[in-house]
Amino acid sequence: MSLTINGLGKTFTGAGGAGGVAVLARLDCLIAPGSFVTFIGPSGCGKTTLLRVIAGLEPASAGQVLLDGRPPAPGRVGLVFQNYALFPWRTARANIEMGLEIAGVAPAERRRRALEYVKAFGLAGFEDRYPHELSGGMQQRVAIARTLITEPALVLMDEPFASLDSQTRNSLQEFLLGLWETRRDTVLFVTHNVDEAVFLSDEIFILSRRPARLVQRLAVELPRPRDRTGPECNALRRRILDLLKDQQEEA
Amino acid sequence: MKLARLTPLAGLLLAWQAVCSLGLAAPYLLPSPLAILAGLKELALAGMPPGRLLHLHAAHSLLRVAWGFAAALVLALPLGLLMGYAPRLHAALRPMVELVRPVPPLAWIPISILWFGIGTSSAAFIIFLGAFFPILLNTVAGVTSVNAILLEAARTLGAGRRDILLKVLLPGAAPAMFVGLRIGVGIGWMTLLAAEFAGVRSGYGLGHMIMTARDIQRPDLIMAGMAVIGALGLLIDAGLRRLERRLLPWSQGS
Ligand SMILES: Nc1ncnc2c1ncn2[C@@H]1O[C@H](COP(=O)(O)OP(=O)(O)OP(=O)(O)O)[C@@H](O)[C@H]1O
Ligand SMILES: [Mg+2]
Repeated sequence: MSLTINGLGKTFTGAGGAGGVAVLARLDCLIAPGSFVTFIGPSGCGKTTLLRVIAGLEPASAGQVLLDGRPPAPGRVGLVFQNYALFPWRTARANIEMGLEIAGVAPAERRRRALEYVKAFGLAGFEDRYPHELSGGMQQRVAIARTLITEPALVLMDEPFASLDSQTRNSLQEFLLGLWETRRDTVLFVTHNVDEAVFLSDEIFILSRRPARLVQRLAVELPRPRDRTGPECNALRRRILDLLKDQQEEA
Repeated sequence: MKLARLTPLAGLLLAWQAVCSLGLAAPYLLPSPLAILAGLKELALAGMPPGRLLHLHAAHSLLRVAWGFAAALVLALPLGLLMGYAPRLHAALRPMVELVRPVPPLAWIPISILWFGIGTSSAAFIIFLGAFFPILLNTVAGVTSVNAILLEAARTLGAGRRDILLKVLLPGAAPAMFVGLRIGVGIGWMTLLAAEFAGVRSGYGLGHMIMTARDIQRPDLIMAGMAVIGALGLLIDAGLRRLERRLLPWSQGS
């Protein structure tokens, strides 16, 4: 599905309506179906807010978000949270099943499908564990499976690997790319991490400091799998870092 | 290890027995542990008043608590869930709760006797009052403490109000509900005794048994009755904790 963001603005009104904080300033972009797009921007610029507005968790103050020309229906935009947001009272499998349960899928059928995801996500043998009994990397895989099993029209990911060690992060990046290459979800990924953006994305959107607007749009035309430390990736990284540095210095 | 922890208790009992055996305390004020043990046997086999056996007293007391506690549970859990979920309902009911809650359950005894007469219903009513508020307030607190991120995660998975209530807030609040249940049953158990001191119609009840023992000046039986009350309270709490571990294996707390 293609995503259109039209003049999207978000201002948080302070207590009593006075002194609002402008977080998103007239953001426009068009994202092609099946592409992997990353938003990168200085910390606190409004990346999470952008995802929350797109997911419908926060109303927009201006503009609109359209999926194939229509406002997204509830439950059609999946969101993977930075801190996993797993239900602690549900086992890995029951967490993965949650969306199907809400959609009214019969127990036997949702169990079958959840177990397919358990396998595909390398969680076999851990399906009956509770989130606190899983490693961070496993928890995040459960969270991603929980989102993808509902086949959302658009997948949002808010710094999903930020709290993992770099080894686990790299392997999850590769895992996510493998999934995406077979499924071709439309993915909107947010990160601080330039290396991650370069390794994963078809396109990188660089955001300004708050209130966030688009500074630059970079198409990444390198073939996958990419060599993280190869000269092309390094050159791209340098460019992005320079653009981000400008944002810091303006601040 | 476990036995080692019991050493101080055993020491205390020994010292207590020694004080009594050496005649340092008047037996009509402080019966010895062995005398209490004998009293326990008498309560179980001969009864107090004679013929009314310990297990029947206990059964009557437990039944009263079960009634009052069940009523508190059935009303307080759903109401607490809704109050935690709907801030306006919370705001509307809060003044009433705040007005009634500080009245000690025991202060309701005279009016409840007037309303329900002496007997199981008035005792159950007192227990209900004692158990209701801890269950209600802990449930409300449990619901409001559920991490907002989890509600959002459920919403992005397509959850509506009903799903949020039943699939997120209810399980999320369950550990706090159990805290409320344990406090509630504890308070209910304590208030029961006082309610029974005020009189029982059937002639059965642990509180009634103790008051009868006091009337005939039998401190050994009084203290044996106290021990039974303590032991039953402990048993109920242990049972609830077991139930919690079974129902909420994911919750490591408490
Ligand atoms: N509910 C809210 N009310 C008021 N201000 C808010 C609210 N949510 C976010 N903000 C403000 O909006 C700004 C952007 O926050 P946001 O979390 O979107 O940034 P971010 O780019 O995701 O930051 P980070 O890199 O730290 O994840 C911050 O200054 C924050 O204080
Ligand atoms: Mg953020």
